[in-house]
Amino acid sequence: MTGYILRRLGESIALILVITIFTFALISSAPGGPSILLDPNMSPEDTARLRTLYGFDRPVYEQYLLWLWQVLQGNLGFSFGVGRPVSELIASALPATLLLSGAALLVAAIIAIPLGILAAVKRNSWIDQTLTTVSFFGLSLPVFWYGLMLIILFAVILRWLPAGGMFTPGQNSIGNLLLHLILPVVALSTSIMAELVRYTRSAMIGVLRQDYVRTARAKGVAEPVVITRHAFRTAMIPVVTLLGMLIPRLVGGAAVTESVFSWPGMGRLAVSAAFNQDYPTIMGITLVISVVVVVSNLIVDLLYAKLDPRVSYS
Amino acid sequence: MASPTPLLQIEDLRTHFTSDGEIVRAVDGVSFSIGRGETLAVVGESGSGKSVTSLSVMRLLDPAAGGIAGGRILFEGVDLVTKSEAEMRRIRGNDISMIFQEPMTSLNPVYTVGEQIAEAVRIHQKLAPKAALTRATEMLELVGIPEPGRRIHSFPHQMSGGMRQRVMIAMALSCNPKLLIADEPTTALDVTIQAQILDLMRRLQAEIGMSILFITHDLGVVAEIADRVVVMYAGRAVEEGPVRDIYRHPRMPYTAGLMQSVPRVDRGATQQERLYAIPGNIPSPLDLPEGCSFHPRCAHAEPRCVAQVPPLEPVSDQHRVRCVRWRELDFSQKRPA
Ligand SMILES: Nc1ncnc2c1ncn2[C@@H]1O[C@H](COP(=O)(O)OP(=O)(O)OP(=O)(O)O)[C@@H](O)[C@H]1O
Ligand SMILES: [Mg+2]
Repeated sequence: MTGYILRRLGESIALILVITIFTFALISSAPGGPSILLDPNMSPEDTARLRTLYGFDRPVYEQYLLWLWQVLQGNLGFSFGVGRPVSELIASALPATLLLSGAALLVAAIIAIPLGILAAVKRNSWIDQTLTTVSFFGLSLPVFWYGLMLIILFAVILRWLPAGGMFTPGQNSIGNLLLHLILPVVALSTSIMAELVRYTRSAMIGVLRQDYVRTARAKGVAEPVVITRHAFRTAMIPVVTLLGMLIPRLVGGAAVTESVFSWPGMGRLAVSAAFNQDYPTIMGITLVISVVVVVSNLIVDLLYAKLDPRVSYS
Repeated sequence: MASPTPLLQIEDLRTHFTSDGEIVRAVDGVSFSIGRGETLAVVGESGSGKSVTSLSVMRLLDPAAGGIAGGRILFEGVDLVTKSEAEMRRIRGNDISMIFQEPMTSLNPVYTVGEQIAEAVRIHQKLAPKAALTRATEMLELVGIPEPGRRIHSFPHQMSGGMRQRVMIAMALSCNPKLLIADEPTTALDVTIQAQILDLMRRLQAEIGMSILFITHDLGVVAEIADRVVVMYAGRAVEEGPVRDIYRHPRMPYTAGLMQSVPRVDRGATQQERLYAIPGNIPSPLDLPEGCSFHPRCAHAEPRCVAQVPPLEPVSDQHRVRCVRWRELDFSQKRPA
């Protein structure tokens, strides 16, 4: 087990290195160059000094190694845009993103998994057909447009909920935060929910056909217990795998959702950093998001082994 | 052997499915009974309706696919067909329990075998989890699993097919059922294990005294375990009688065909000699032949076989056959020289 975790950690580090190299190469080849050199008020001498200072005159691989060396010492550099340490920007944006994606995942799981079970148990009934249609619809909703519709309906027309941000200025209560969380969570969780319903349904249909479910019934186990303790307990194993695969999508979806709802998270930070060609911030975000995704996948893998006694990692 | 009031008495059972709007008569008027402590074998080719009959007794048919369309299933004189689901739950695993053909897939992969046996005990005997687990250990010991105290903590995948079938038997017998339905319990096992499981079932029956409904397509196994036999063909019972009578004097050409396809040492069959197989296939229950369902495959068919479904006629006190020509045909097995 420990050996497995160590091996997976090694693989994860390699993966993260590849991702950062790729990102670094990509931004270095973007036309225009770093925004910091484009200030029209700077004299050519100043520009040249800055170029040397930041090392932009060196070969790209040297710049990367320089960045990596700093990162290993815990230094993510300074943002070109706002002139604050990247680590500070991320420290304030990351909790917001984790809150939004975590809440979206939780809400999706709590609502979608029982619905998927229901659709499987009552398969081909009107309930099942309605759920299938609705989740097909939910899957094909573009988050951007859908988020705008939510804002127009619930914030502009009905005025029930705030249109964006995390807090109403001056009100830093949990209640106020939750109020702001509702619309972005709905926007972000809908497509995940749709996918989870469909996946849980098909996993459950497969398990309900299994011989051991018949064995449970033949023992005299009550049907609700057959469905939860016997069928869902095994159907959960593939569902957990899907949850793991949804995490990267969730993070990607968060970028769009955060922009639509002015949610002060990593996604919004990333979008503005990309527009500003703010290299250090882009690299910092890439690194942190990769770590989050890789770590959550590792957790899901370990959970998988915990859920399925047939799987043993060694 | 059958006592005056049978433990289980099935009367004119009809179980139908609907498939693409058509009615599949999987079981079409089957009657038989099992006495207390008796072992009845139900024999027939694949698709003859054996499993559907046993699932009907357990009331475990998928309601979306079909159900019991007629007849009575009297268990200790009470009709199971009219029982509510809650009442059936109290009977399943308690008065009537069942083991299946596939030991590899019949146990839940995520629970230990101890938990799975204990669950039945908890449900029916209302034992506390700890006492139920003790009972599970005793049951594993009873079915001959070594180191039962350690084995209750094993998961099914850590056991062989034969061991798993022993676990299934332990689970089925944990609440002292009056009737054990065994649907091809040895078919998926290799020959030595098969013999061990049959041995075990015989021994446990002697100890516990339950009745057994033993389903198989292998007449060879029947002689090992059963007192009486019901031969099924295309959803109907076509011959019924004590094992000795059926083996020595099969009356129905179908039974005789099944008998001939059993490998027998005393017939001197060598490895090279191909076993006899009844020509043709069992008809689709969607498209049953007129009259006797077996007539298209029968070497002795006559026009009157097609005219009507032959009645089940008594040959002797306990032996009955569904064949219009049974008086004229002689399939008596030659005694070994
Ligand atoms: N759920 C179902 N829906 C439709 N038809 C079914 C269903 N279950 C069984 N049948 C049909 O009922 C008939 C009898 O099936 P059954 O499983 O009882 O056969 P069997 O004698 O147990 O055969 P085997 O030796 O293969 O187990 C078959 O023709 C089968 O196709
Ligand atoms: Mg069967």
